Amino acid sequence: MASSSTLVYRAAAQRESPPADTDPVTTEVVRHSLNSAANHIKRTLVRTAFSPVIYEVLDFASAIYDPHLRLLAQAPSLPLFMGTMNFCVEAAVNCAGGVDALDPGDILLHTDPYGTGSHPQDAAVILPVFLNDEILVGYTAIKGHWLDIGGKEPYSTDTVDVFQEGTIYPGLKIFKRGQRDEELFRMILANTRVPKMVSGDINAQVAGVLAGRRELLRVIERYGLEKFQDCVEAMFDHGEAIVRGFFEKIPDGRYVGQGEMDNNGVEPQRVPFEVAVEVKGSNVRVDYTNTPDAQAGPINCPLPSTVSASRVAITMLAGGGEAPCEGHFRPIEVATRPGSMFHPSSPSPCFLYGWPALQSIEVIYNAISKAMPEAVPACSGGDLAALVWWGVREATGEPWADGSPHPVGAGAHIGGDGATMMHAAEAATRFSATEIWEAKNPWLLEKVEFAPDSCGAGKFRSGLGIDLHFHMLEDSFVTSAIERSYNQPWGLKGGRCGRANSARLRFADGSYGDRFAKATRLKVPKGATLELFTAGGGGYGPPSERKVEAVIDDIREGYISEGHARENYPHAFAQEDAA
Amino acid sequence: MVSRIAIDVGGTFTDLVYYEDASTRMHVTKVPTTPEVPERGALAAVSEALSPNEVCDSAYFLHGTTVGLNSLLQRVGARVGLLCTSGFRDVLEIRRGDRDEMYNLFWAPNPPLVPRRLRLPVTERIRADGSVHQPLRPEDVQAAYRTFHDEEVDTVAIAFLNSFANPSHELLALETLRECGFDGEVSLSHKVSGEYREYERTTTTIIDAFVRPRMTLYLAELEAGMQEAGFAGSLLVTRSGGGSFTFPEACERPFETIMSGPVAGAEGAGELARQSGIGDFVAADVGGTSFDTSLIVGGRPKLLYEGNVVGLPVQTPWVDVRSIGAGGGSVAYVDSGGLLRVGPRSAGAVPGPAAYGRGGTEPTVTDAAHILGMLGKGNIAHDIVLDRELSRTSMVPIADRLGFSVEQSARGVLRIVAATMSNLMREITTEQGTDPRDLWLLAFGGAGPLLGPLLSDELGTRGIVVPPHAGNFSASGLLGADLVQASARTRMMRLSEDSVGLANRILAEMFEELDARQQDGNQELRSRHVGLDMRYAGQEHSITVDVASDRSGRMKWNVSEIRAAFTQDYKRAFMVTMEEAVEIVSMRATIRSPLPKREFGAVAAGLAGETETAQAWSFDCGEWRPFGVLERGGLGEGDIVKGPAIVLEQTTTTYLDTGHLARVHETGCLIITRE
Repeated sequence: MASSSTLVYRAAAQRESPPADTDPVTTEVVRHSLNSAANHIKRTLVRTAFSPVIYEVLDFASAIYDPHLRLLAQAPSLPLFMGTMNFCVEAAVNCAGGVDALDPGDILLHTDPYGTGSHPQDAAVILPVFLNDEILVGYTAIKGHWLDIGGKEPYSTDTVDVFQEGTIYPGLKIFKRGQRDEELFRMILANTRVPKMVSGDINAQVAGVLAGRRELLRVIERYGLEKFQDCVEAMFDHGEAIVRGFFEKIPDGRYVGQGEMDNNGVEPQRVPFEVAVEVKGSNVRVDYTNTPDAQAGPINCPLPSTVSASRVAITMLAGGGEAPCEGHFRPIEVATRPGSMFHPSSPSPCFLYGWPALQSIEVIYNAISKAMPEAVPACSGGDLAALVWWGVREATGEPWADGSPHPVGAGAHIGGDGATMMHAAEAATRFSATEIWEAKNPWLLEKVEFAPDSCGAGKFRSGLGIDLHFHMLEDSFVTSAIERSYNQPWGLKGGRCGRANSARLRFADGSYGDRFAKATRLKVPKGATLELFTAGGGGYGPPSERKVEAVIDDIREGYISEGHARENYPHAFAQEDAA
Repeated sequence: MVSRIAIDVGGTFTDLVYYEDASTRMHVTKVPTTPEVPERGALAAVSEALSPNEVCDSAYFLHGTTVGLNSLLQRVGARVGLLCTSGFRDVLEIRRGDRDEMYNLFWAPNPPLVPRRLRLPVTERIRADGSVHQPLRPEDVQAAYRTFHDEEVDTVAIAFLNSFANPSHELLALETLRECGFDGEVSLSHKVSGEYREYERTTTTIIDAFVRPRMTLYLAELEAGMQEAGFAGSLLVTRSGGGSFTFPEACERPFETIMSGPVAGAEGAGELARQSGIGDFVAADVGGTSFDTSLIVGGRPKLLYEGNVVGLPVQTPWVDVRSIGAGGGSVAYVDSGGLLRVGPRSAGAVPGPAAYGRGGTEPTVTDAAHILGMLGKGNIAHDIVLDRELSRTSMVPIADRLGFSVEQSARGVLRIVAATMSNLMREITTEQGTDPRDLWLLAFGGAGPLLGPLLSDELGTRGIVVPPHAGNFSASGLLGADLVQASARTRMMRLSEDSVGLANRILAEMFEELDARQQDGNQELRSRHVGLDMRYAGQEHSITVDVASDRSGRMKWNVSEIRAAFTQDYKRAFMVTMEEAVEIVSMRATIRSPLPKREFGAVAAGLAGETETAQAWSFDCGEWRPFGVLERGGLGEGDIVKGPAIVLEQTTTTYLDTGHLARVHETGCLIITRE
């Protein structure tokens, strides 16, 4: 039950003895080599994966940790996953019986949401790396999204406990001393609706962590373990200094941002929450204690993802544009209230954990905007507008599944207009080409196009939202995990709101269903069309300050209509109207 | 009569290499590049370097051009109009939704090459299987024509959804556009690429339309100038995907020349590997601003089938040359977190490294090397004499920040730049399942032979090969470029006897089209090559497998042989294989006609004595040592040089550390190994 105590989470501590034998040269060389090793894991995974969610959408994270679970390097991949990986490794190793129970050649599988921070489909595959088969020197890990792991549906917005959400594999050894556990493997494939894809994706994850092991060992052998470890300490100090440098410029204070979830998936009422950002010198505390109790529906965000959302928000802003390591996280504290929706405990449902996490990123920026509006962009479309599809092919009887996030408008900022792209929490993901979708799924896309006027007006305007019309050539099912359908993306410094997310069905007879956002196992019959409307973003600065030429350009290119322009930018017509 | 002229237009210098067949002699000239009118610099090099007889007697003119690339970089090109499928007007601008800089919250893509008002929708629809879902409405094309006319559009790109499966609507739209009276150039997406993924194919088509007028004009000027100079042979341009093609073909398919410049070095490396038999190479081309690497296995550079330039995907064969901003001119600095960093910013040719004495004050890689004595007395090309005091002065602020001596800082700069380059080389090799320890490091470009030992040590290669004319190796690489035509077509199908039969029928059509394209080259020597893009059913990414074919280009292998070749290549790349069914995704047809063979070498005999010694830092010993300084021109086949030594030549300097031996190979290459 909800308690009033507060838990404060901090990055892993510095080593006690200061780095003895380091220099800024070898440190830079080691840092570069570790990032290169993490990239290698990513490339191997992408090129061998079976599910489009991994190879096209890039819905995964790959990372390398040291034995103390401190982040050494991560490849550019799903940001929201990246900050959770130390929790994944720690939980998996604990479940497996602790460090002493690990042998060279073991590979662990972990899908417990309260360890991974994600829903069970986000399967963490973890390889403990031993030097000379003796000394544990770190872990290579991939958390990747499987298309199905035997939950009540392939994708859900209405679960009431974690057991409906998928099969939980708690730190099991899928490889023992280099040998695959065939019984376990059989068990895994028996618990998915798409066994071929899952089998292929496990193989791909294994190939990835093996490639990572080879590269990590190479770096360590090149410099010797002791020197390597010293350089790692110096590398962490370097990352820490960069983030601290950013927060030194933000005035001390407590800044509160407001957010709201449409609903919790099983009950209709909205769920408001607030996150405070406290800056003191170069330290920053992200405070989630004033958030509601854990919810009856799946919008609970386990602690690892709450911490991750804070890290993503802060390092994207303050990390100097480079891949973060453990050091970047050191100035960041995350305060939560156990029993709240940002620190729930099992068996609270958490299938949509990413949705509150993603909202909290916008709320953190909202809070920082109160200290320094020029430091952050206005609100983006604020969602992935994700759809997950499945069905059985008419001709072959084969099951199929696919799913994708979709781009939204990015918020405008002091430097200019926003563009249209994936939410920052999924900055490295992509959505599929229409021609790939149509080659694979029983679909005909009628439209994938900008929605004129969907942007938030301002001195700088946001990116536009997109309209996507999926026409079904065969009966299909869809789970729509759309958030932020009531709250329009907020503008900054007088900038206006953009349109919110939503979807609706158009049936073969031309009639329309009601607008919806969250929906589980919705049947989209053959001949019907799902219309998805993704959000724009918020504008920056008063619209009256937008340059007249920019308004005229937007009308000419068809980004905005004349009506929208007259309503938001009357100054652009002053001369014309006077004439 | 197979003497030939090669011209490589670089950012700073235009290099000309003349190969005289009778004497197997190579002659190298450098003139300043004239960026505004690059053909002028090229023609100036010809008139400066060659006698009228030499021009007349040459059979081939081979050219690596950056005109297309620069056109994209500077966004100076044709005003393009796009006809697209109704409902898909924003393919170009929505892209795939990802960010080039994922940690940059404020990142935004460049504005699209075609503004939205010139991207006009046409009611029409082809399904994924090639069937017509909705016929094309000619009225939409007519309406678009009026807009294009009013907006003074130069060229039109037509890119409809699924046109790779059925091109009839693109062809019909072209016909309608012509009937309306449009007389500009038109690029059709199915002709440009024939592969699926609409964003990538549309972008490639637009690039084609964008660079076309400029490229056509440039090549015409160059051709006229060469004819005026008395040249009567074949004029060829190198392709992004390797090999070369004729000027008329380049005007037809200008998008295939985008990487024409950078691939020349990889092509030369391939030719050297084939002729010398030394082994497989990882190429390290270190210039002033960039480092380019490629992997040469079995005598050919590795090919990709999609490239990326200025953030835009290009769906065409692409020699896998990877670049980073690291070279002799890369600037060293200490970042806000206190680490020493090198590049990607470069001091360029102006002001250049501090040692040039042209006003540069920031320390560069060249300055670091000169501080350590690795460039001898510092007499480098183009009459520049490096000033060591200026190099030392430039390094002082870094040394102060790090609490290092100037020499320590200089060594740090070189170690970092070597590690950065080595990581890229390791990625390009291990990704293909190739162990760098089985390779030779082929070091060229102005600063490649200087950094060779550092790079080789980082990677653990078998040794280092420094080719003749290493400083101009890219230009000389042009000399051996085969004539190549290639095309690809996507047709997804399970691997079976039926599908192999169908693939053979499609390949026959493709070869027929390619034959029609090629007007030049020796018919006798033509060979046809087939590649199949394949994957396990259910995967998305495919690998390209070379399939044996007969002279007509018909595949010789049966289903199980093709599957076996796929399995082998897959295992090599990814270390695992699977039991799943295999799919064919695309077919690739290539015609190759080699130019007459040329000889490397013609190395003078007789070891020149060491002329002098100079103090330089030995990384191997960790101390200053006296290095022998000698001229490469004085070395002959079989000669052995024992390190520590510095070998000078006109356009580069080879640094031979203690404990290394250099042997002069019959091709004139220096082969450097550890003692």
